Formats: sequence, C-alpha cells, structure tokens
Amino acid sequence: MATGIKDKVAILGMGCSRFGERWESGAEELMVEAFNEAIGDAGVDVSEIDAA
Amino acid sequence: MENFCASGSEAFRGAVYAVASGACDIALALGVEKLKDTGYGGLPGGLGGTLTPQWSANGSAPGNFAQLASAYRAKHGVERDDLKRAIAHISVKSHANGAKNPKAHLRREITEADALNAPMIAEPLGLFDCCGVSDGAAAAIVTTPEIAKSLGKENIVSVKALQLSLSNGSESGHNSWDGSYFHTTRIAAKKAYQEAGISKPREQVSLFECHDCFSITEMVTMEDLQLSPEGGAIKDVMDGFYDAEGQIPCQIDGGLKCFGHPIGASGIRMLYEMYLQLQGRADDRQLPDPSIGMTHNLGGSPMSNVAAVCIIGAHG
Repeated sequence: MATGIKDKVAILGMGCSRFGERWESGAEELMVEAFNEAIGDAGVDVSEIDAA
Repeated sequence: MENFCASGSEAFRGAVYAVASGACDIALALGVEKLKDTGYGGLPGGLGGTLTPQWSANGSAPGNFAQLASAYRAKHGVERDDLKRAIAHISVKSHANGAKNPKAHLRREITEADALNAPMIAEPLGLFDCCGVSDGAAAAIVTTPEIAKSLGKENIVSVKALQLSLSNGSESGHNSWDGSYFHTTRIAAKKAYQEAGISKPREQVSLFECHDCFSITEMVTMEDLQLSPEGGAIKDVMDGFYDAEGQIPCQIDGGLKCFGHPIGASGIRMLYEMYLQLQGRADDRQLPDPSIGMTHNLGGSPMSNVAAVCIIGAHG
C-alpha cells in the first residue's frame, strides 16, 4: 500500500531573487541570484547536487 | 519543465520524487522567467495550440478569469457591489503584505477606494484585481530527512503532500460545470489533505499562498481548498479571516498580486515564503508559530488547467 510523500523529503535550502522590473538582469543572472541563496542556505557544495 | 504558470510546482515535484525514489540524494528545482521585455503587457500569447485562435479568438487572461465572478454571483445570488468590495479587500490585503517584503515587485499600500475606482480591465476586474507581471527566479534544494540531519540541519521542514490535478478542458463543453470554481483545485486539495493527514483544513492549515493571478481567482480558491465553506468566501474575506492578523493568513508575502508573477518561478516562490515562515525567518512578515504551510499553483484558464497543491511543515 502506497503511503504517499509525507515526511520522505526535506527542504535543504531555498532561494528567491528580487522580483520586479529587472531590465539589467538576464534570466541567467536571476537564476544565479536565486541559486546562490539556496545553495548558501543548504550548506552543501554544488558538486553534491545530483540532479537539477 | 514547462506547464504554464504551474511550471515551478512541476519542477519541485520532479525534484522531490527524484529524492523519494532514491534516484538522487540531493536535487535542485529552479524556476525563472523574464517577462518585462517580451513586448506584452500581459503574458505572451500563441501557446494554446493550432486551433485556439479559431475557437477563442478574443480570449484573454483577465476576460477568462472575470467569468468566474459572473458565474459565482449567479450561483450564490451575490450582488455585484458586494463581490466587488470583497475582491477589493483581497487586493488591499495583498498590497499591505507586499509592502513589507523587500523582494516584492509592487511595494505600495492601496486603499479600498483605490481598488474600487481603478480603471476597468474585464468586468468586474479592475487594474488592482490583476497581479503583477514580473522578472524573477526561485530555487529549492531537497534531500532526504536523514541526509539533512547528517548535515547538522535543525528545524527541518519536510514535504507533507504534493498533488497535481489536470484538466483537458472537457468541463467547458459540459453543463455539469457551472464555471464558478476550479474542478482541478478541488481534486488536488482533497488528495493533498489525505496525503498529509489533514482532516479539518480550516483548523489545521496555518497559512497559505494561492494562485491569485486575479483577485477573483483567490476568492473562489478559498472555497476550492475547503478553507471557506461554499458560498462563504465573501464573508470570510470581509471578516479579515485571510488578513495578516487573521486566522489563516493568505499571501503573507504579497502573493502573485504584489510579490509578482514570473510564470515559471511562482510555484517555488510560494514555497519559499512558506519555508521561511515555518523556520521563523520571515522578518517583518513573520507569523507566530506556524506549523503547516500550503501552496496552490495554477496553470491555464478556469476551463482548462493544471492545479498543484503542496503542503509542507515541521518534519516528523
């Protein structure tokens, strides 16, 4: 009997860029902004991420 | 991953399932969108398939979602001005919340009069009934609770439920659907509560972010998520039930309305605020001791869409 996803996965880190009219930033810069906060929060090395 | 406005939740779901299956120890979900320089005031068109221009030549997002209001009024016998005042209250609340959020797109408080007197976009939706169109990105890194503990993490937040419900649009061709609610949201919410072991959502959910692309969407979603009784959303809204000081604060970060709506990032942005709140890290917006946070992320229009409901909370 399947038991669902409850308590099987934890959030290790999260990040979010400033939202708005970001004329000066491309999609890549926005992704890096969000990712850097998330990886800093997670406290792991980029190489430890298995999939994205 | 591309699933309209629900893309962020889809990406998160993929990462969570990758970890749960054992395929990965640590996985990343990331959503991003650049909307301000697409040349459109709203969302780029032409995504609906070959036949869309023929059967929905003049369909717009505000027009499609405004019809929720007409259908809701007809079903529940609501006067136009009573509904208009309730959706104005929803936008005033989101602007008040967004003003406290340094990452939000629209950070100015508005009054009920501002919302009621704003230029009409699609009856009854005025300018302040429509969410921001924004640039932005959001990211989530997930792992197993065991690995999180081994890395020395405390106050671990884990996923309690993750449900997705899809419609191919068949309800729009059938008279069993009256157009006043989201069939998909109701299914996803019911399954998510079962998965999370929540039997009384109105009493157990601490706070939530819903897909407030328009104020009327937020209002009917309150009922579709079983937080307000059917036909009871207007009373709850006017009572302040969903305000920052209310029983179940909704859009405490400003929501799509004011945090903004970079399509592919929005599902993860909602989770970001729930995660901060559950960890007690939401600064000026922090609520006292929340235990269950929920997100509702919608992609599509009322008659054909995908609804994602995710519930997170303290691990164990």
